[in-house]
Amino acid sequence: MWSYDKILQYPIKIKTPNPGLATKIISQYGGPDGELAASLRYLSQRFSMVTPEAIATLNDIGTEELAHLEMIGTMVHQLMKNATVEEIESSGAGAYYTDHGRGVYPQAASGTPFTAAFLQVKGDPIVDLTEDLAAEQKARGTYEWLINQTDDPDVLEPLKFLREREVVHYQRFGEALRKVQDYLQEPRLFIMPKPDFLRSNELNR
Amino acid sequence: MINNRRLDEMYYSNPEACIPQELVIENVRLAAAYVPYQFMCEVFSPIESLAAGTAFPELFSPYNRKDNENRPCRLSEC
Ligand SMILES: [Fe+2]
Repeated sequence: MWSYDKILQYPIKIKTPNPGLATKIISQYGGPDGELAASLRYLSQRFSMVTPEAIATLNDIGTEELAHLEMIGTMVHQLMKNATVEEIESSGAGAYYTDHGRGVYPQAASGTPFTAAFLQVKGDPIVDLTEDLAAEQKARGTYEWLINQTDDPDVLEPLKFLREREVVHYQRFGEALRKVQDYLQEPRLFIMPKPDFLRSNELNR
Repeated sequence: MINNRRLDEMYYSNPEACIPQELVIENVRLAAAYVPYQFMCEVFSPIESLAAGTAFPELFSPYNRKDNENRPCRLSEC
C-alpha cells in the first residue's frame, strides 16, 4: 500500500515555455531509461528479492522513482502549457503535439511509446540488482545529456537534483548487492534429528 | 569532493575523523561486482540536502556540463 503527499519531491516552477525541450525531457517519463521503467523494474523485482535490506531498498527506491515520474510530468506540463501552436511547431514539437497535444504521454524522446521491454525481472537476485546498477547509470547519463541541452535554471536545478538521486541510488543498490552476495554465500546446511517414527524399524529389529 | 587524491591520504590525514566508507573490501571473488559500504558521518542540513540531491557530502558529485562529455583521448594523453 502507498500513501501520497500532495507535494513534489523538489519544487518545479518553470516560467518560460519550451515545447522542444519538453519533447526531450519526456524521455525520462516514458523512455528506455526513464522513471516509469525504473519504478516498475524495482517494484516488480522486489517480490523475488532476498534479504530484508535488499527488498526494502527496491521498495524505497521504486517508490522514490514514482515521485521522480511526477516531477518529470510536471516539467513537461509546465514547458508545454503556455506555448502557442506556432512555438510548438517551430521548436520541433509538432509531431508530439499532433498525437498528444499539450498532454503528458509516456514515450521516449524518439517518439517510441513506453513498453515493459525497457526493463527486466529475472527472478534471480544477483541478475536483478546488477541490472539495477546499470539502470541507475543509464538514468544518470540521460540526465547529463538533458542538462547539456538547456540553460534555463528553472529546468537545470530539478534535472541536477534528479541526476544526483541516481548517483545515490547506485550506491544503495551496490550495498544491497553486497548483502545479497554475502547471504547467498553463507553455508546453509541444517541437520535435523531423526524423528522417532522413523526410528521404529530400528527398534523392532 | 572525492577527486584524484588517494582515499587513504584523504581520510587518514586526520586520524580522529569519521571515515564515511569502507576502504578495503575483503574476500573478493572473481566475476562479481563490489561497491564499498558507506558509513554514516556528517550530513548536510535539510535545506542543503534538498539543493544537493543528497544528505551525504561524500556522495555529492555534481555534473559539470560539457567538460564531462566523452571524447577520444589524443595519443599524447593516452
Ligand atoms: Fe534512480
